[in-house]
Amino acid sequence: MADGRDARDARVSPLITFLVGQRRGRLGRLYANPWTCEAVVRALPPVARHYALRLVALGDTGDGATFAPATLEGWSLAHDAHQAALQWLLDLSIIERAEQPGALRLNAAFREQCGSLLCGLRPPAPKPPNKHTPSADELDAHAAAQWDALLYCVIHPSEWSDSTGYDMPAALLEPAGLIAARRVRARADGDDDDGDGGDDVDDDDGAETIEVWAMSKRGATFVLQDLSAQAWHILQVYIGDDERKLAFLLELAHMDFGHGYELRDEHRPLIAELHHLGIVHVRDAAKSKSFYPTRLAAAIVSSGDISPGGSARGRAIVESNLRVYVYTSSRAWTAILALFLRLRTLLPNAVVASITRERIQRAMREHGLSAEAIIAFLTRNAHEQVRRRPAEERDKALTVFEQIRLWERELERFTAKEAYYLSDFDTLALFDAELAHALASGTHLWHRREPGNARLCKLVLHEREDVIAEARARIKEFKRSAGLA
Amino acid sequence: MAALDRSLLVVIVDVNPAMWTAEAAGEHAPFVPIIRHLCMFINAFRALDGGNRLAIVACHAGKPTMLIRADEELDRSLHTVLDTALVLVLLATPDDPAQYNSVMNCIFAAQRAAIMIDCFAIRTSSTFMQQAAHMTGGVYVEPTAQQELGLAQLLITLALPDRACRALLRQPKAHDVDFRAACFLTNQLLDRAYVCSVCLSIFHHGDIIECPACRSRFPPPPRLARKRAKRAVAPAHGGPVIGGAHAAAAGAGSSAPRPAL
Repeated sequence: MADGRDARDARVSPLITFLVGQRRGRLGRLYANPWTCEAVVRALPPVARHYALRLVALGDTGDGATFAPATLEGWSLAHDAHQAALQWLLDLSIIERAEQPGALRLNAAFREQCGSLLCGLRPPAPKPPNKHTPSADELDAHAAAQWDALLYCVIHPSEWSDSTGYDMPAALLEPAGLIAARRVRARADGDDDDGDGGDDVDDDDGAETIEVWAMSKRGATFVLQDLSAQAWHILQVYIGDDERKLAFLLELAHMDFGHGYELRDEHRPLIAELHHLGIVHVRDAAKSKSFYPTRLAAAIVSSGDISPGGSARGRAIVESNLRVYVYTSSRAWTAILALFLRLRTLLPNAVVASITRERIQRAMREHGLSAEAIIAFLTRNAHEQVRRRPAEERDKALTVFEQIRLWERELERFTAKEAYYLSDFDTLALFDAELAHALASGTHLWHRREPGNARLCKLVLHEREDVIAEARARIKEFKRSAGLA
Repeated sequence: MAALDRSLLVVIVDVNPAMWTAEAAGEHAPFVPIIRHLCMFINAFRALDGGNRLAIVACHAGKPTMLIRADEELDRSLHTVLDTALVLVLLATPDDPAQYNSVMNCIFAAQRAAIMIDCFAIRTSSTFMQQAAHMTGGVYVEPTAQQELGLAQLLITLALPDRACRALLRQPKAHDVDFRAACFLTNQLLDRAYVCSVCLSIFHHGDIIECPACRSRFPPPPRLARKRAKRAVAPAHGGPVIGGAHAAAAGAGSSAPRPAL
């Protein structure tokens, strides 16, 4: 579509991406909540954001049920930016096409809710702190621990256990496509060994098999993504068809970190799962009167790269000798690193690992990880010390990244196809006839024609039962008629 | 990423009692709706980004009061923390020429720190703020009575976008900015002036012996040169006023106020 979308920012807020994927009618219902509207305004690209607010302000003067596209165009100096902004607003149903041809209209619910925001509507006030109020550190620790547990569960779903009986693999991870059921041979120790590359897919050897959860390829890519992409992938499943959940999530994002808020009865059924995701902290989902949003809640609407625990970002150092040091004590991080690195030493606060061809290629084959995903993960989590280095020194790490890309290309060098090989033709005429057939039927892969010696002519065909049977019959017929058989 | 987008808005509201007396005398419509429009604008600014910070200063005659204060952290290092800082001035009283020097100093400081100054002059007009808006890339608007009814819309349209957005959105053209400077001694607005060639101070009369700003001594002007020195100091186009005046004065050769060597 040549509608100026090329001019759109490459980085679009995940909230916008999510909303664009929704049905029109549903968007209208979502805009009935002021916090959804505010979150949408904040997530819009700059020019579209100002268009939306101007349109809301226009409505305030009384006229303007409909307006012409030229009105918007008159506001803009850059044609590309205007087209992109208009397209976003149309995609999000903030601007709708009115009945009159060519006329546009602001979504009524959006206008009303944004209007009330401009008139000073504020999110609910926090409750005064009491002895139960958790400290900022406790909230950060809760968010980090819950998110770590989730990531670990994606990698080792069969090890999930929760005291409250919440079944995260079945409730969220399987619907999100991050894990899938897999049949493995039942073992005496029941341990799903993941260490040495042995694939335990069922072998039909009569041994008893059981069904267990295992990480899917999507899941492997997921654990290497940044937090806001991860959060939205999970939240899409959490939200499902329930507008209340999205509205509540976006309301959470407007609350202040470190304060307690009153838990209203309408939100009580939603809170337990958010507690498990680390988005809120609540002492007892059934009884508590207040809940505490964590930093993860605010990260939902921001497109920034924030860690669930607030401060702990940047902990990986990649050396040009293919060695990697990661300062972490989290179980999930160790498991993530074990996906594509060879772990050498586990220290109380760090993991020492090395990048090896065998591990990287195994990660690519088995988990479907791409070189770019691995490189992006290591770059994004680069340690502060590394970030502070001058660019030319950092470039030394690029040789490591280049090596990873080369290993990826090595895997792509050959593509295997089932094929059928014909050679040792009796006459050149027979070869030419077969070549013509192969080209006509589209099964031709490769050939070599030796005009002097028909015996050396070679033809390779796609392995297709019917075509090959026909070719065999023709050759047999030829030999018979030539009296060669 | 989020930290890059946040901006600081400083709103300076003129609450000079002079306008209440005028209002009480029935000379114009009440000011209260204007504050309501301002609140809408501020809410729109808050809705733009969660990290946006706001400070509101009420400006009484000669005594500013901080009504809402931005974070301490922001106070310390305005333009290092923030992507953009905007100043919005809601003006209701005319210029005080006595403030010319301090206003110009503010304008230069803002220009250097890349802070935009927008000014909405309500039922008045201001040469100084016109220059401030022009030199810092902001807008200067004198809303008509009709526009005043939809002031919030005007504010949201003109004063809300940050510098990067204004490059993409159409802004009103500044018509005929009045670049006249004020005399440092008499505070009169001048079309032509004498300029101290050391500190560039501007004076209405050329018959001073010592520059009151930098204490440079001027030689007594020769009679012939004095007549020529009265040449007009044309308003400069766009550039700093004082620079323009200086250039004109330098071109006039041995102009009147001149330092003694």
